[in-house]
Amino acid sequence: MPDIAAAPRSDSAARQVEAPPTAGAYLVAERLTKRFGSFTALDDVSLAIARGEFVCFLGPSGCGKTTLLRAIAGLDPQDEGRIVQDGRDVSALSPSRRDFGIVFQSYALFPNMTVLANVGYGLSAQGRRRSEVETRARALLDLVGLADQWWKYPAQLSGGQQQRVALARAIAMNPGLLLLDEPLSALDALVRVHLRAEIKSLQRRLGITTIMVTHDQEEALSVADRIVVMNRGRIEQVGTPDEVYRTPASFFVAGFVGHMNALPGTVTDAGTVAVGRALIAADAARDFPTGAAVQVCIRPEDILVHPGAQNGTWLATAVRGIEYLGSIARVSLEAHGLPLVAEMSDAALRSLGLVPGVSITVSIAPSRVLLFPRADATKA
Amino acid sequence: MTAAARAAQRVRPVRSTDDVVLIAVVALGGLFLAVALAAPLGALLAKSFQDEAGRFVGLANYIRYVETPALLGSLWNSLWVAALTTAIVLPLAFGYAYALTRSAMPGKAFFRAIALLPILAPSLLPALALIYLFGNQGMLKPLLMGGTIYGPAGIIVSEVFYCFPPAVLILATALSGADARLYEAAEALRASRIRVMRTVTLPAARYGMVSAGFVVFTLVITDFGIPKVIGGSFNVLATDVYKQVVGQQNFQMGAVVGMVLLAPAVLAYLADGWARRRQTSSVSARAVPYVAKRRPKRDGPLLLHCAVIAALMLGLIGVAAWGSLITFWPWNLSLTLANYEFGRFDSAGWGSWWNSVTLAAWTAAIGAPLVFVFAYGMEKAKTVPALAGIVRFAATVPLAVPGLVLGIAYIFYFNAPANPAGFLYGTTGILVLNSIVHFYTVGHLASVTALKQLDPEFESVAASLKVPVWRSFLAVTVPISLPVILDVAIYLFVNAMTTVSAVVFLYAPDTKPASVALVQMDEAGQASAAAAMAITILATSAAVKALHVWTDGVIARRTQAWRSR
Amino acid sequence: MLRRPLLAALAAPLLATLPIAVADAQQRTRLTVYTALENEQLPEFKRAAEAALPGIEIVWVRDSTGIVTTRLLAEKENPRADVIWGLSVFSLQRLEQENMLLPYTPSGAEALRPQFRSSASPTTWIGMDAFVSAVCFNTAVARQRNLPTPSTWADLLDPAYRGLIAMPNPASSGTGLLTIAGWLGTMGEEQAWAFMTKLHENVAVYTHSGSAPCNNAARGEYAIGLSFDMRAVTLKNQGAPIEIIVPSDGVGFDLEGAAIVRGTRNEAAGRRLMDYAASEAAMALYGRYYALLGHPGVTPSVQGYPAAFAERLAKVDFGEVATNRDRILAEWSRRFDAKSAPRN
Repeated sequence: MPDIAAAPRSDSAARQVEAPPTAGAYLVAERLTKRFGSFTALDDVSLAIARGEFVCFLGPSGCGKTTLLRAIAGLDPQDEGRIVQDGRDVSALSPSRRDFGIVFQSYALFPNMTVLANVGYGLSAQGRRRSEVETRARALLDLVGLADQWWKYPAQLSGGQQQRVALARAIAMNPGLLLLDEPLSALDALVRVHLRAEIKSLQRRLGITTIMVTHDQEEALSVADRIVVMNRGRIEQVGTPDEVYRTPASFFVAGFVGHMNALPGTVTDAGTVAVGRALIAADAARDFPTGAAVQVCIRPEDILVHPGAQNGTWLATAVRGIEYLGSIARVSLEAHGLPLVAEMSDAALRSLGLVPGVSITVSIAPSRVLLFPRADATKA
Repeated sequence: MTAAARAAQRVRPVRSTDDVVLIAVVALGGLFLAVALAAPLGALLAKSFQDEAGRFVGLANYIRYVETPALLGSLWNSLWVAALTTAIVLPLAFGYAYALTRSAMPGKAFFRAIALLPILAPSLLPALALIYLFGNQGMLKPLLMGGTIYGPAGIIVSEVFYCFPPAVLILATALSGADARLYEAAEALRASRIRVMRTVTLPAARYGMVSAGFVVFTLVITDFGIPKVIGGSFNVLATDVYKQVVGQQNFQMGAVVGMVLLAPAVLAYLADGWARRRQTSSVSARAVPYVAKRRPKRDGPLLLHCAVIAALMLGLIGVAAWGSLITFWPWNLSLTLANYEFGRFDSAGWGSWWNSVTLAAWTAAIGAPLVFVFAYGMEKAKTVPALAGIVRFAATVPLAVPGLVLGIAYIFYFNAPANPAGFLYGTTGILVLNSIVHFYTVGHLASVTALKQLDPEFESVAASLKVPVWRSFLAVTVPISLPVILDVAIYLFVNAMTTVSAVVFLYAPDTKPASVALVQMDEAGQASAAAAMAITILATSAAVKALHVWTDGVIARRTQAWRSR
Repeated sequence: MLRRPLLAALAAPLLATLPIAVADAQQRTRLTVYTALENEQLPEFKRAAEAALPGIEIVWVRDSTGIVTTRLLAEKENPRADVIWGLSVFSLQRLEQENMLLPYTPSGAEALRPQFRSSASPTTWIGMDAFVSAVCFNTAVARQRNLPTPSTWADLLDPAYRGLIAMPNPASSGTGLLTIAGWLGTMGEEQAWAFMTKLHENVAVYTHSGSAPCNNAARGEYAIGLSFDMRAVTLKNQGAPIEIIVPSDGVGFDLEGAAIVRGTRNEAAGRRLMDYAASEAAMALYGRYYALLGHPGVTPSVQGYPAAFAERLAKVDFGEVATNRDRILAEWSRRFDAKSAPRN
């Protein structure tokens, strides 16, 4: 099954970025542009984040998500545009004059300080009393489940533990904004899943506005209130996880978030697209003129094998291969020479008795067929 | 849609206190190098465009230089001798540094100390020892099979000895920042040892290799003491400067040759920038320090490598020590301590030794913090890249400036009646300043190499925690870098202890250093007294070095918890 | 705590070296005297001069001729030296050209040999003594290799000495220059260059300093070192197996002189020292080391010089050599300096 993320990017006309509601937002970025030499890392990006929200910046490497985060922190200020945090224009301020805590992929823990000293570093620099600093640092360590490790040095901790310390340090000063720059990327898979849940629950408890940069769409879907999908220095879509997943705003988002069958097709009338020799009913076709070249996108779980699904397109297919993924399975199909991937529960797989070579009819609901303009159409 | 309606405004970041502090540090560094390096050199180099009467003559001196075949011959000699020395030193030093940092070989502390022995000694020492061994009356003369030690052979051997320590120092710093996890990953991938060396070790050390290569190359190009003593008639650029300036008092032509000698600095700077672009910090905060496990197949050959080099070094030093006890080489080989009664050979007696200790102590105590703080500023002041770049270039220049050139430049500059810093002239202060500048580059490169291996986000985190940059510098950067700072201090101390070429023009009656006394004794034919002074200098430096090793041990014990896994 | 004792340990020696203000008020005039005299002569000269000149203290800055001259020239704009006592007359003439010497005719200067004072009036410098180019001949090596003892410059062309002669490079050494000046003076230009071309065949090395050839001969590195008499005598007295040969066919020589540096703040004291430097007492002092003195009436007490030494001096016009120096050196470099490596 081709990975759509690698497919040509959709035409920019497909981008339907809503201008975010700025009134009452905690953090507003307006028309940010950042260039590194001839490379444009941020291209006129605008965004608003509500107080207490957990937002993920999602995108492939080089898409500008970290640049946006660092601009918000003031670490690499944007060349143009404005950033307003909590009603205050912070665009020109240095990081130390802004209000945020930050966690890096590298943890950036001070190796020569104990866990307790790391967490209390900012506080003690403010000249607070030692006992006060210690009490607060211990409370924070308790919060991240490391109360009994306070005396250790970072090098004596596991990666996950170190990242918890970094997290405790980042929230020690009660910042209004928590910035997480790929905090989980360096960790083992299991630790990642654990820790992301903990980050989420911690964020809920503290109610702190949080931005997390990640390239892992599953991570973004699982923790974010809203996801900002970025590509090539621009925002492709801003939406809740289900919006981004179910109604991707562009072919890029459709491909980047979740799995997707993506096939080149042509609109034949207001309700149908032709893909190869197959005709597929699609509600979305009414938005395109007849003859328009489109990318036809169908989620694997929307290719149904259950008999009884009534309306929609019926396709006769042959099973080419099966990939077991535990509770679900991914089945590679071929319909009129077109490759398709369907996803079904293990139970369905068993009840249908599918093995490679078997023929099966599948159905696709017209409402579940997504169409995007095909960028290469003019050239073809 | 208010956002879209308004035109995007350009951002003029307001500088924070941190930015201002860092800019101030870089500016101070720049000012320091401008006053103590650029201005004196400028005063001298202006002379390269003047005739003897001080009239501007454009490139006439340069044209005369190019038209003198003997001078061009020296250029070629300098280049190939320096290139060959570099080609010999780098692999030897890499193997040595590798053994010190990446093996479980026994006696590492011992070998580390031995590797630094040559810089503890005046550069004349290996040359003197080689003459005892391979001179025309030398004990091992037959080994040369009719060849002669006077000339390129003697120069190269002595230079290898002389340049070995800085190369090891830089490479060991580069190699000590290994991330164990890369090696574990490589092992898991079943990469062969050679492949690991090629894909993990060498890339991580590449910056160090380039730095070390250019340090050695320029040290050889600019060194004057060794070619003078053992070079015979073999002319090199540095001896040409001597001939022009000291022999003929032709400052104009001396300045021209000095200009030619500056070319390596430009090359070094370009190479430095090239390596810098390819270097990413190899040790992040989460990196796991590499601790070598015993592996006899690797450790054995490395031990042998180190042992052979250490034995050769100790051998040369031993010969010099023996020479210092000889009544009259080579005719009366009975042993005596009389050569250590320096008052017999030099009116300053042991006083010059104390002058040197004073000079070296001040140079180290002022120079090491200065070099490190400036290096930190240059690495961290992101808001003024152009200024930092210029200062960085200036910091690499001293390496390429021959001591003779610097010394004379200092006279012209600091002794000018209008110079407000003129009060320094004739004091220990000017010797200290001169020594700090003269040996700036190696300390700077070592500091930069160490700083590059720190997580670049330390400052970001500190800023988010509202901690001023100077506080994090003191609380985090300095403790982590303490071993390097101490290394730099020791490097400055021993070089100030042994330097001759620049200070020979600057010392006053009360401040004559031991190294100058040593050269004067050698010129007066008192070889054994010269050897005795060389050994005295070596012993002093070695004692300080021993103190350093002890201090390092204390630091290592105290910081064991966070430095090792 | 680690840091405190460590800092204290590091700081203690530093503090100890802090220049402590000298308490006793300085009654005497400190004269900074630049010199190229030999190290072992300095205490003796200082003692004698200070005894003869109450109220004057001599502070030496001593280095090789080239370094001292370079320093003086480089310090021209802001001179640090008060007096020069013991520097090659070639250097003094260079300084005179630069108008760096303060004219003063010391009392008693008229008693000096005419060559031993500058032609200017009042004089800008006076000569103390002369040193001549000499051959250091290592007798031990000669025995090993069965070499004949040379007695003239022409003898040095003997192929037996091939690769056994060390000679100072005139481009970097004043001794080298005076040696060549002697040859040019006695042989005439053309013959002198022809002689040097032949000698070049036997020379193993052109050294940077004037002392080095004799040092090398004393250590047996080479059999023969062309150097100057003082160095040779000193080494011989140290026990080196060398014979000092002053070739009978005319030797180049150089004067050691004294002068007041223009810009001195202690002119009066400087004049007193100049008077002393020209006195018979001082001449007797020079005579302990040098065989030819500025004052014809003082007999040198130094041993080891050949008789009739004074007659062997070449006719050297210092002024002319100084004028032609660049040309001579360029010619020499063109002919011999490009030699890249010593022959074996």
